[in-house]
Amino acid sequence: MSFEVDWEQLLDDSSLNSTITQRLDNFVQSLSLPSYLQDLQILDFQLGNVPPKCKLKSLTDPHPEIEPNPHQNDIQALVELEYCGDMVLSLQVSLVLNYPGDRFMTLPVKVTISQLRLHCLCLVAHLASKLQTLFSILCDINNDNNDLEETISNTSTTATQHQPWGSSAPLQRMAVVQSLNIETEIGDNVSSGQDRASTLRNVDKLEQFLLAKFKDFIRNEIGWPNMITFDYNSDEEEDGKDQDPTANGTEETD
Amino acid sequence: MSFRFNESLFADEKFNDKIKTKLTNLLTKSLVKNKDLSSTTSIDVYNNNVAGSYYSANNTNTTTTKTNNSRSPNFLKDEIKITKVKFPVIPQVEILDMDITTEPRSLIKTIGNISCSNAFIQLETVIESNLLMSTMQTSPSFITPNLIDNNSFKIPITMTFSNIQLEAITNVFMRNHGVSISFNDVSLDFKFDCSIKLLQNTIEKRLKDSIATIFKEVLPSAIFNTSQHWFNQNKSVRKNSIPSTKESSTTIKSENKLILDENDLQDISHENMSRLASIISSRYTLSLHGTNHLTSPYDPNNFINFNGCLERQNLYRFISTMPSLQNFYHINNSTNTLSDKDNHMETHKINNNKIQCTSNNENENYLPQDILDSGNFQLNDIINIQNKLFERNYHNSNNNVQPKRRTVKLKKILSKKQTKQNKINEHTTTIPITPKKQLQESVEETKIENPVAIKLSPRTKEMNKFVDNILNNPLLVTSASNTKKLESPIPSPTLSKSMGFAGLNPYNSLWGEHSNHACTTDITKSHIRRLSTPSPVHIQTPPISPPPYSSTKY
Repeated sequence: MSFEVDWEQLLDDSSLNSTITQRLDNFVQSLSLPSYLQDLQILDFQLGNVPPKCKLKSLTDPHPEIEPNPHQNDIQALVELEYCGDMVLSLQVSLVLNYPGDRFMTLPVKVTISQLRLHCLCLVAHLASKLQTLFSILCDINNDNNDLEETISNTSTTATQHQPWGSSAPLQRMAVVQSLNIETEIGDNVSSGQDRASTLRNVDKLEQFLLAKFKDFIRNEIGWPNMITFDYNSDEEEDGKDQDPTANGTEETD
Repeated sequence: MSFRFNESLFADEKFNDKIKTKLTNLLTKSLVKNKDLSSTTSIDVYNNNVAGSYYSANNTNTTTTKTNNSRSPNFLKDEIKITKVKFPVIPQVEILDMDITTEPRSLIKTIGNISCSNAFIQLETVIESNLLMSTMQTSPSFITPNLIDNNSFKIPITMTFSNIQLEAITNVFMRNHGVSISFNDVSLDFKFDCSIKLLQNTIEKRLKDSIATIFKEVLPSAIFNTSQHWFNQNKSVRKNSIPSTKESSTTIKSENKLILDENDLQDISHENMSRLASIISSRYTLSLHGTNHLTSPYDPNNFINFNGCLERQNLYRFISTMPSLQNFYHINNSTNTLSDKDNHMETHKINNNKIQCTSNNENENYLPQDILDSGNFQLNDIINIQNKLFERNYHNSNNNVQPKRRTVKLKKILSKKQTKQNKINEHTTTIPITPKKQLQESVEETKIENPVAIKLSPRTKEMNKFVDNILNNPLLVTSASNTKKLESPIPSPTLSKSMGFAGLNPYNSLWGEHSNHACTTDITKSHIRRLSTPSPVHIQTPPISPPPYSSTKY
C-alpha cells in the first residue's frame, strides 16, 4: 500500500523552485544568528525530479511506549519512506570576526547539499485524544543491492563511514541519512579581484564532519526512542479532532 | 580561500583611530605596570577588556623578568603614543589548507598565509637623553662623581615605520580553549625612519633582532590569551561554537574510567591478578591451556570472564552479540522452528560462525528489505532492539539520558487542515463544507482569501493556487525546549516530506548539537588501555547482557 505522489504536477510548475527558495531564504533571514554568523542565505533549492516513495506498512493501535492508554480513535502507522532523489539545496553563511571593528573579517562558506538518500521505517502516531501527532524514525532499511547505481553510491558512503567520527561507535542505532553529499566552498573568490585570492573547495574533512554532525542531529531528534511531537493544541478550542484521520484515510490511494 | 575584510572599515578614519588608541593603550599599560602607576583611562569597555587580557598575558610572561625590566624604561619619559596608522592596502588572510580532527583530541588545523603590504605606523615618545642622570639615580652614592649639573634633558623622538611588508605562513590550531598560532615563515620588511638620526641604526638593528621573538613568543601568546579570554567570556555563545562541543565530548571521555589505571591496580583482587598473570603468560607462550580455567562455563562465547572486560580479540564476538536488527532477523529466519531454549543456543552458534556475513562487516544496523516486504517483523522487536542500542550508547555517560521528546506546537493547525482539505478537494472534485465557525477562525488567522470556493481550473493553475496556499501561510511553530518562535514555511504534508526536517527547530544548529557519537560505546578506542607488558588489550565494556533475541525481557 503506497502513497502516490503526483510529482509531475510539481515539475510542471517552473516557478515552484524559485518560490520555495525565496520562502526558505526569507525564513532563514528571520532567524536570529549568533554573532559570529552572518548573512545566512539560501542560494538555491531544487526539488528534483524524483518523488519520495512512501509505503504504508501497517495501521495499528499506538504502541504502549507512545501512548500507554490509547484512545479509541488513536492510530499508529508504520511507513516505509524511501528517497533517492536529486534534491539540491545550497546555502551560504559568513563566519564573522567582530574584532576590532564590526564585521572586521568575514569568511564566506558556501555549502551545497545534494544526493540525499533515505530509506527508513517511520512510525507516525496520531493521538486524537490529545490532539498530537508523533513522529519517529524506527530504523533503517537495507537496500537491495541489485541496483548498479545504488552500489556505486554505496561505495562512496562506506568510504566515509570508516572515518574516525563515522566509526567511533561500533554500532549506531540508525544512520537515517544513508548518503548525503555536502560540497563546501570556503573563502571569497570575488573579493578585491586579485589573482591570488582563491577559494578552497571540497574540504573533505569538513564535509565529513558536517555530515556526521547532521546525522547525529537527526538521530538525536527523531531517531527512536527520540521522537518529535506535533501538538495541535492551541489556545483556542478547536473541533477538528476527527479531521486528520479521515484526511489520512483519503490520501491512501493504493 | 581567503577571508574577506570589511573594506569600508579600512577606508574609515575612525578605524585607524581605534587601532591607534588600542595600540597606545597596550603600550602604556605595559609601561604603567612597570612603573607601578595607576592605570590610565581607556576608551571603551570592550577595548579595555581585551587590552586587559593582553596585559594579564604579559603579566604572566614578565613576572620573572620584572626585576630586569624595572630599570629599562627609565629613559622613557612619556608614554609611547601611536600617532599614525595606515593600511592603504587591505591585508590578506588566506587559508591554504584545513584539517578537522575530533579524535583523540578535537582540533582544527589550518595553514594560512597572512600578508600585509604598505602599512604605516608612527610612534612618538619622549626620551631622556641624559643617561648619566638615570644611572646615577640607581647607583650607590660612593661611586658617583660630583657633577655640577646633572639635569634631565628630554628629547621627543618620532619613529616611523613605513612600507611595512609582512608575509607569513602560519599554522593555526583551534583547540577546546583557544587558538594557537605559530608563525613559520615570516618575512618582514619595513623602512625605518627615526627623528634622531644618530639612533636610527642602533634602533633598527635592535628591532630586527627582536622580530624573531615577537613572532615566536609575543604574538602567539597574545593571540592565545585573547582567544582564551573570548572563549571564557562568551560562555553563553560557547554552547554553539565548535570547540565547546568538542570539549564536552572530551570531558565525557575522560569520565570513562579505564581499567588498570594506577589507582585501580590497588583494588584488583588477588584472584584477578593471577588471572591477569596467566593471560600474560599465555601471550608469551601462545598457549591457551593456561587460560582455560578462566573461561566461564556459563558464558556461551567462552571469552575470558572478567567482569565488564573482554579481550580485544573477542571484540567481534561481543559486537556480534550486540542486539542489532541484522543479527536478530538473520538468526530469526534460520531458527524459526527451534524452541526457545534451543533458539538461544543456536543463535550463538550461528552468530559465531557467520560473523563475517552479519553485522560485523559493516557498522550498520538496518532492517533487511525482504523482511520488511514479507511482513515478518514485529514492531515490538524493533522497538526493543532500538531501545537497547540507545541505552547502550549512553551507558557510559553516567547521567541517565532520557530520550528526547521534542514538542512542536502547531498553533495554526487550521490552515494546515485547510490545505489538506483543499487537496482532497482536488481529487474528489467536490466543494468542501467547512464548519462556519472554524472557517472564520482560519480566515482570520491565515488570511486565506476565499478558502472554500476553489474553482476547478486546469491543473497548473490549481497547482499554483495550492502551492500559494502553502507558501503564503507559514505555520507558527514553537519548540518546547526553546521558547523562541519561528516560522516554518513548509506546512504542507507533501512538501514537508520531501524537504526533510527543514521544519525542525533550527536553533539547534548542527554545530551546537551535543555530539553523541563521542560518548557512545566506543569500545575500540576509549576503553582500551595497553599495558606496558605485552599483555592482551583489555576493554572495559558494559556488563554483558544476554543477547536480546534470547529472551523477551529488556
